[in-house]
Amino acid sequence: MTEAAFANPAQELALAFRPILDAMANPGRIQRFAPLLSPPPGLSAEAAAVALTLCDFQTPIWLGQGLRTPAVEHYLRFHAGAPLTRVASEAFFVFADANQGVPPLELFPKGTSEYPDRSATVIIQTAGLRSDAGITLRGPGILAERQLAVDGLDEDFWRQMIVSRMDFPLGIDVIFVGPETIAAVPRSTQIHPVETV
Amino acid sequence: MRLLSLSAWNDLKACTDYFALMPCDMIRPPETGLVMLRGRMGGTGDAFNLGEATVTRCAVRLAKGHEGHAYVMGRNSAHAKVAAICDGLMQDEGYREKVEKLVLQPLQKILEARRLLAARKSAATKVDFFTLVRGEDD
Repeated sequence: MTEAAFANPAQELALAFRPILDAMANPGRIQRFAPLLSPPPGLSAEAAAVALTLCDFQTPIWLGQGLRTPAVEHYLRFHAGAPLTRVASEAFFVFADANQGVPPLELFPKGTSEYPDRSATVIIQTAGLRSDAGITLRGPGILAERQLAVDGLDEDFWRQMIVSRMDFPLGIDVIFVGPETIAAVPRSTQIHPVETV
Repeated sequence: MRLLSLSAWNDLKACTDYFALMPCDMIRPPETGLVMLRGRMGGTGDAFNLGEATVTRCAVRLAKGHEGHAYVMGRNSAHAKVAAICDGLMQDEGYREKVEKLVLQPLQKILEARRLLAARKSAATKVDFFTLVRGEDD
């Protein structure tokens, strides 16, 4: 059974692209993102929209726990035309579910000095995003600082995020998708965890 | 599939009136794009890009859950849709024979007739090159 993708691909992909772009340009700012999609179970509509918008035959996708089902794999292969890989170091896009455990970020390519763009973009689907708690973000695209809390992610994840940008301009860009929301933390954003007393 | 794709739209339309109205869900609505045609010089040389062709593809799901897929040359989305429906019906035991008899066989006949006509027309203009006297041998 193949689920349908966008009914009007040209228009709806453009509508999906804009919030993704805005999310990347304004790290940590939560954008409204409500694509009309009904992907197979496991994959959220928002994550599916990111896949359909950004992925194609040149971008191998690596799927995390809970997403590695035949239905999801078939959906991405059929509609995005993207190859799926089990080799983390070959992945251009990684889809993971925060509630099923995000794989260690160090597994994925962070680019090379000659080609920093040959890095993985990690898309994490979560139960919710909030801007009144969580870690503090600073850097390009943020006036002073911004806060972002992502459901289901622990301190260890944010520690990995900090480590992943120590080799800037190499690094990993992360997009978080929650119900009807999207936010991004590109590699240029500095992360300051909340001090636990 | 070959028959459905190669047939002229008018021929296909004439024998699929009945099937074209089958209720179906669009998995992938008809969309037109380009494919790169590749060729080999003499059939054995290195592959090179011959040129691009316009192709329309479509995927549908029929009421019983069978999925049909079609790729046809050109920009005719109705053609792609009907071809996809026929492809899906061919997987349905209850319809296979009907599609075979009402669609595929007539199309096969039309295509065969076209091919013969083209072959006859080109055969009529065939020229055999041969040398009568070379002259410079003596």
